[in-house]
Amino acid sequence: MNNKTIILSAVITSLCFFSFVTKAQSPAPYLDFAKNKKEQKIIKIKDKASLFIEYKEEGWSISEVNVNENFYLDNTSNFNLEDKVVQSSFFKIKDIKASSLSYENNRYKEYKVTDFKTKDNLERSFYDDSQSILFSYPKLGKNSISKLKYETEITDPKFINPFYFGSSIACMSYEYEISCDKNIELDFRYFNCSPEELNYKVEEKKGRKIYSWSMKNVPGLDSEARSPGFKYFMPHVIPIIKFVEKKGKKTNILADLSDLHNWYYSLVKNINQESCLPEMATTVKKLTEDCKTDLEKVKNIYYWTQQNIKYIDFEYALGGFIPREANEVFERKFGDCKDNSSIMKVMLQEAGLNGELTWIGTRSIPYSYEEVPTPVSDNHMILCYKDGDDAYFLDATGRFTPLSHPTSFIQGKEALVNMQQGKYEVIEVPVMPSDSNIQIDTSILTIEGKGLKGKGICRLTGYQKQDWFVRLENIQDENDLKKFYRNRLMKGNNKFQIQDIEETNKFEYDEDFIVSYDFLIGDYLSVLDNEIYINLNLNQDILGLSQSKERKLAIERDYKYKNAFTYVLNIPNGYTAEYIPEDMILQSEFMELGISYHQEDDKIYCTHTETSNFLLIEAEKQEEINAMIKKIRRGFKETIVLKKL
Amino acid sequence: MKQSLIIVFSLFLLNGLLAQSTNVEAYTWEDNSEVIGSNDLETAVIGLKTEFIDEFAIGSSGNLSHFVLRRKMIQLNTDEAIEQFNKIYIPISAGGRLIESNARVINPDRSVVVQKEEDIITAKDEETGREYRYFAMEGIQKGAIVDYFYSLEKYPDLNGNRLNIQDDYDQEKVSYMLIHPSFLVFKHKSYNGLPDLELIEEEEDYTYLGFDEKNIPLLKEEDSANYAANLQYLIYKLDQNPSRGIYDISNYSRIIENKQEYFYSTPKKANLKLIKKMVNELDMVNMFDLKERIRLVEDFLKENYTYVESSEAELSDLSVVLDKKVANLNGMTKLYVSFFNYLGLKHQLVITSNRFRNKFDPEFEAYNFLDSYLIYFPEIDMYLCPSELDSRLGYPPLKYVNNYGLFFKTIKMGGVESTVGKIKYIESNTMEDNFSNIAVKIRFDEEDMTNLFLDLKNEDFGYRCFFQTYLPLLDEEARQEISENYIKFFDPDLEAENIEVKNDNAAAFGIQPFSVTCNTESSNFVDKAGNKYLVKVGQFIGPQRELYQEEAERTQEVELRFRTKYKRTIELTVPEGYVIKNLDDLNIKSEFINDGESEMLFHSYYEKKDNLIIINADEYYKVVSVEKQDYENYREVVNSAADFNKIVLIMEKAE
Repeated sequence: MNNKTIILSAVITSLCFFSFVTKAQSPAPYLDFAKNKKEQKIIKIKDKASLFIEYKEEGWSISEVNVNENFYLDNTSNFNLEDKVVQSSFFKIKDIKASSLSYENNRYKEYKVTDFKTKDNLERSFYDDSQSILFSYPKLGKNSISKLKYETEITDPKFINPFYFGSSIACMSYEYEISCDKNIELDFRYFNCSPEELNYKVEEKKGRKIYSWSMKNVPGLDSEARSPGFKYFMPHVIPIIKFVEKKGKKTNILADLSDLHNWYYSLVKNINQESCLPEMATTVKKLTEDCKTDLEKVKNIYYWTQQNIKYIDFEYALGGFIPREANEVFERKFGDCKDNSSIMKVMLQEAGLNGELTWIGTRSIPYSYEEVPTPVSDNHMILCYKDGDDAYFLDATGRFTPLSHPTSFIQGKEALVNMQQGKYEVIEVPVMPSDSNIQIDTSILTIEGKGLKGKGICRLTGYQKQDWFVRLENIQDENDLKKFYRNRLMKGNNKFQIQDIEETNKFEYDEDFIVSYDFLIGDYLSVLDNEIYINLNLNQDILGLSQSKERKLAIERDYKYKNAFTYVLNIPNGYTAEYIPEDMILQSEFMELGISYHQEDDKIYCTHTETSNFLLIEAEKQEEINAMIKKIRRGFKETIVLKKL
Repeated sequence: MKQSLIIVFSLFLLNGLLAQSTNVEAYTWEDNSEVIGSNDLETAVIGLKTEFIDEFAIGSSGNLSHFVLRRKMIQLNTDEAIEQFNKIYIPISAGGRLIESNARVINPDRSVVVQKEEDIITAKDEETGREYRYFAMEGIQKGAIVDYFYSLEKYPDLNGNRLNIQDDYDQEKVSYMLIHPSFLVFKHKSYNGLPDLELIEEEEDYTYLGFDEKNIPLLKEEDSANYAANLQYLIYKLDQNPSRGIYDISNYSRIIENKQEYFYSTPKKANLKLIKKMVNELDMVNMFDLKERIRLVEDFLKENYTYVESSEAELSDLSVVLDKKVANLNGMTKLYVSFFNYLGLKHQLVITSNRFRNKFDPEFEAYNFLDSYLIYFPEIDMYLCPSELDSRLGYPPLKYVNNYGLFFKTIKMGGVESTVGKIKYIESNTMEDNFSNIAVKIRFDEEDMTNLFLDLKNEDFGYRCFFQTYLPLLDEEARQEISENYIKFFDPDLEAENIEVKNDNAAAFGIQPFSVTCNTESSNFVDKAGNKYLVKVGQFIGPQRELYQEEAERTQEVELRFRTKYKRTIELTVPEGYVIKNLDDLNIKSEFINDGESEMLFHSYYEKKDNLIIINADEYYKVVSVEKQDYENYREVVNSAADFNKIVLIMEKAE
């Protein structure tokens, strides 16, 4: 392979340290806390952050001190030696201290970490300014404690981080404290918790306001397969600096959404002042000259951008917020979401149309702009185009997204559409209905010995089509292509073999994708004496939707969808259908499932339908789906009997 | 391994080579107009030109340096291919420097975009001293030619370098050149059909070896194939400095000498005292079985000492290791050797390579095969790996077996002991050492004949359940999940409350099977068709790997991870008044006999005792490699097991 794949070497630093005996202490309280908890390896003793906010003539002074202490219950802590702290241009580490408390001869002895090494991070984006500070705790063993304290300088009052009162491991004490000048007005947003639960207090000390929150004895909370991001279930507080008063004059920071928009506006107002490159103008002309409607022009420009501007993200400092010049993006042929939005805006402009830069949070962020008018509410930029009353959300970071669909990961989210200075609009991105994302797979089956021979035709639309395209794009080799279709279209059992695949509208944005194919399924039926037994429930993937009873968290799906699988069995000459199972229809708010049978002349039709109508389903509601799956399983066991005349 | 170089180095200078501009530094590329693309617009990636140079010459510091040139000219015909190749990363090892980096994009319309130097990004890693220079190629359109080269100067590693030439796309015009001072002798070897390096020119000062503008076809990845071993690659090394009478520079004899000294010098008294104390605590006085003694020491060390990948000198110092309980590769190996020496357990040190990255060549001595250590115990013919936590005596990591290794052998000549190196094959253990055992007892629920009462046992042994070694690191929830998966193996919906788990600890690995048993019931195995019951008895051997889909011809030999065998017994009690007429469907046999030896087998059969049917399904893979031409036989055995998985017995009322 070429050298684009970088394997980052394991994180090891040398273990120079000093040691001295600390005040006598015992592991008893930690062992006591860990008792009867699922944690058997490690617990958090303390997770504390103290935020200091000050505004003086020379500007803001904001820093946060974090303290983390962990206790290790057994010798496997040997394998937890390595740790790191991340910094970037907005969050600079000013000071860091780490040490181990090793439990030796019934007392704790402290070993300080003295060797910290810096490493530029290459994993997150193509280029950002984040760095890891790496170190190793010496001598962690049974009953030992690791201590970490570091101070972060926060360079911008708009970038205050949330504090989480939870993690995957149990914690004896979470503490969060903010010390703030009285002339600064703060506001707080609570998610998955209330101020009371967090023992919220405000005091005044030495002319400063001290806000504090704490939570004791918090069990570990694990994420589960397909659960939404941790922001959806982890208790957390988001502090917001609303305004600062100096010399009797108020200056807004992020008092409400208009402040956020004003700031965002200041970052984008100066871009694309130069005229559009002649080559770009020519491209726009070519793309739009034969178009009959504006929407067609938008579509052509949108699809051109998806195909021609490859995704590479640069997130250095404010480069993470300011879109690059459209001309530059056009020449480079790569960019990130902001760059795509910038070039589409200019190309639309060139075509005499108006698209607006739009900030949006992907579905991993559960906040609305009204609730949290700060940069933590979004992480993405798109272009919004309005055609009369219809809004279109152009997100060219991937490929094969039709104009009809927003990208699946922004469905239902608020879009903050830029208009002009002081003017913006918040529009909710639609959630695409299940029947816009369809898979219809119909097969005609003939019995051959103990196997089935079939002809299939599969039609896909919307997100389902896009999923297939994204995978198909990687496949060059004939064998791999067969493997892909075999996996996607497998029926009956794994003796399914696919042949003569024909693709129609492959990689087309707006047309349905159609795959027709021939197949064989070996050893599928049972034949005895005068009878043939055949189960026409050839695809039972749906059974995998069943969830464990112990599940605690919601399930998230990428999109709503509808599947219909139809099997048409030719009854062999000289046979008659002796038994055809009954139909089954199951419905709930979230799903609809059905199996139906009917006979027409010498053909038996069996159709499975599956409609999934949710993006997020809470744990308690999953029982409904489990119950449906249980019933459908019974339906799947029904076998058709053909008898020789 | 670098000590021996110092001697060689000092000798270079005496030979009076003058620092002059190297071929690598002088490298330039042709005019844009001379870059011609391919008419093939279908194939995603086409290698139009590849040029690699490795040049050993006097460098900027006045010492011998390794100058590296890497050039690739590729045509990219799909969006996906563009995304795959539009980011170029240049790795610079500690102490190395980037001489030059050039990149250009020539689009189908012949427009050219040249990479700007200011767009090159640097990423540093203080820990490894390594640096990356990287950039994104600008202006690429579909069908564009991406052409780049970079040159580096780095510290010369002369004792064995491997360079992969083949890739997963076809390459036209592949050229390679090895340039070295003429007073030195280099040896090289080409693998898997790569052309040999030929003498191109011999000047007074420098010798040029290589090949020019060859076509190298792609090698596709295949399942169960050792891709890295099958690629076309070359290895070169410095062999002699005849003017100074130094020969066999990269041979293993030097290594043996150095390592012997490091590992087997008598430890300090204080260290011996600590080792003695620990050994006493292990209480081995009444333990006489060699294997048991070794395992006890190994389990103790693996539990209490942590291995880290690091070149820090202090982590290979036994005193530090004993105190901090952390060690690097050398330190960890020394720790084990010191214990075994103290206990007087006869062993040989073995150095070998990862067979999946760089298979050990028994016929070409080069240090790049000397990656890691095993300890071999000749009396029991078993290996132990000090550095890998999830391995134990008799079960060294799979990457180090079925491979050659360099064994340290002590010989006595005239009463004097000395150590010599011997290259031998590291045979992996047998199929008996890695088995799966499934036993199922089935009874019908007379109230609801589609419901089955099941006694299930699912056992794995050896490499099949190496996770036994890290079970102590997992919490209860994760451990439970593993055992539940052994039951869900039969059917994902199976639920069992009375799961009994045996040997779920590290000490049992390779000694006792990881065993999960339970009693449960399920209606997922029987379908009803009219008045007949369809019993899916094949499902009790679990989902099987299959190779049903017809594919293009196999290009690489099969290399399996380990030898293994399966024993499954299914006992089915047929209810009173019922019969099964298609029992003969259970008889399947597929066997591959090579040179009179049965190498692979699947065989299922049954016997009937009154209303009890005992079904056996045996399967084994006695070998770890299958030649290309025998692939179909391998496929047949694998598919036979998958065929069994589909067997349905039809049960009906007796007439």
